[in-house]
Amino acid sequence: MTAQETIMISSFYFFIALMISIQAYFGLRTLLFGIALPAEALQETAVQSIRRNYVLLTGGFAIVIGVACFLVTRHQTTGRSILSWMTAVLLLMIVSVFAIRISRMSAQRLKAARGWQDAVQTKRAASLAVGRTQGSVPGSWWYSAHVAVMALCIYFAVARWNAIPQSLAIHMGPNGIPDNFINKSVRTVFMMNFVQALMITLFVGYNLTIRRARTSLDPQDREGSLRKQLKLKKIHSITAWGISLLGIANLGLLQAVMLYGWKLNLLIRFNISFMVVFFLTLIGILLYLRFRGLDQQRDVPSQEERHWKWLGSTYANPEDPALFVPDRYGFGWTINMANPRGKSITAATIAVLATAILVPIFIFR
Amino acid sequence: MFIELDLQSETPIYAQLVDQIIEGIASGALQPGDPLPSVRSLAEDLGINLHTVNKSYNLLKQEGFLQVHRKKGVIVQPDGMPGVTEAFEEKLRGQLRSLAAEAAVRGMTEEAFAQQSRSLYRDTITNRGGERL
Repeated sequence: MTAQETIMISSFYFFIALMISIQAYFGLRTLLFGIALPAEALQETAVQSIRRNYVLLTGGFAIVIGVACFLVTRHQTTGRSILSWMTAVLLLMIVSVFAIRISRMSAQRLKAARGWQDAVQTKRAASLAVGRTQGSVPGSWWYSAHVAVMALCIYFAVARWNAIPQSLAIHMGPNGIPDNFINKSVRTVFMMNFVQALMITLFVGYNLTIRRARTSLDPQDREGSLRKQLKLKKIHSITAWGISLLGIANLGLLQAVMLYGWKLNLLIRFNISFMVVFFLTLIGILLYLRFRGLDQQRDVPSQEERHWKWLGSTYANPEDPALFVPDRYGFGWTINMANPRGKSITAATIAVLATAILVPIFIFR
Repeated sequence: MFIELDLQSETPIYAQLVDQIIEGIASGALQPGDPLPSVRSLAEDLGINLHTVNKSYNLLKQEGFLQVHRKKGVIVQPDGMPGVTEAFEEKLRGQLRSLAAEAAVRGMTEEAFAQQSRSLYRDTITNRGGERL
C-alpha cells in the first residue's frame, strides 16, 4: 500500500473511531445513553463517570485495534489492507454496541437508585403557519446541480465512446500498474452513473425527510423553539447537499480514472480532501449546535422511553401519526417504525443503498 | 399563530383546537383566506390522532369558519364569516345560562357578570395575544 493510501484509510478509521468514542457527549445532555435524566442529575459524578467510562472503553479499544491494524497492513496490498481496516471499523462498532448496552444499564440502575422520575409533558404546541415549518429547507430542485454533474459525466462518456479502451483497468497492482481489467460495455462504462443516480435519489429522499419532519414546539418557548428547529433543519439540509455534491463528483472522478486514464493520484487526493472536508464539517456542525444550544431541542410527543427500541436508537410509536421525528439524541431525524409507510421507506432506503454497493461489486468481479 | 393543547384538560382536544382557531379568527391572527396546515401535518406536529384534527376541521367547516379546497387545501373562510344563527344563539344561551347561574349562586352581581362578558368580548377582538401568521 502506498503512503497516500495508508494516510487515507487510517485517517478514515481515525475519524470513525473518534465519532464512535465521543458520541456519549452528542445531543441532549439530559439523555444518558437514551435514559432521560432530570437537569439536576447532570452535575452528579456518577453520571459523568458513565459517560467517561464509555469513552475510555471504546477509545482504548479503538487505539489498540488501530495500532494493530496499522502494523499488520503496512506491507499488505491495498485490497487486503482495506479489508483489514473495514474489519477493524466493524469490530469497533460491535464493541461500541456492547459499551452502549453496559452504559444504558448503569444509567437505568442509577436512575432507579436515585428515584429520578420522568417529567410528564401534557402540553403540546404547533405553529399554524403553513409552509413556515418547511420553508427553511432547500427544495429538491437544489439537487439539479447533482443531476448536472451526472449528466456531464454521461455526456463525456458518450462523446468520447470511441476513445475509451476495450479493457478498463479496475485495480492497481503494488507497483502502480493495473493488474485487473473488465471489458468495455454499456454496463461497465455507465455503471458509475447508475450509482450516481441511486445516490442522488437517496439524498433527495433525505432532504424531503428533513423537510417533512415534525416541528413540535416547546410550549414554554414556542417562537424560540420554532426558530431553533428551522435553523437546525437548514444546517442539516445544506450540509447534506454540499457533501453529497462532492460525493457525486467523486464518483465522476472515479469514472474518469477508469475510462479516460486520468491519474489515480488525482482520485486519491480528492478522496483525502473529501474525507477531511466531511469530517471537519461534521465536527464543526456538532460544535456549532452545542454552542448555540440547537442540539438541546426536545421533540415533546416522542419523549417516552418505551417508544425507543434497540438501545434507544429506533422509534416505534403506533399512536404517533408522524412519519419522521427528530432523533432523540438531537442529531438528525429518524423514521417512526410503527408507521407502515415508515417501514416501506426504510426498506426502500436499504434496497437503494444495497444496490449502490452491490452493483459495482458484481460488475467488478 | 400557535396552537397549544393541554392533553390533561377536561375540555376535549378537538374542542380546544376549534376554540383556538375561532379565537385566532376573532383576534385577527387568522385572516380570511389564510391557509391552515393539512390535517396530517397539524396532527403530526402536535403528535395527536389524525381523526381529532379532522373532527375539528369538519366542525369548523360545517359552521362556515373554514373552507376545504382540493387545490388550496384548508383556508379560513374568505367569503364572509357565518352570521349569528338561531343555533348559535341557542348554544350561547345554554352556555351563558349555566355560568350565570353559578355566578349568581356565588354572589356575583349582574353588573359584574355583564362587565366580565364585555371585557372578554373586547379583549378577543382587539387582537390581544394574537400574532399574525
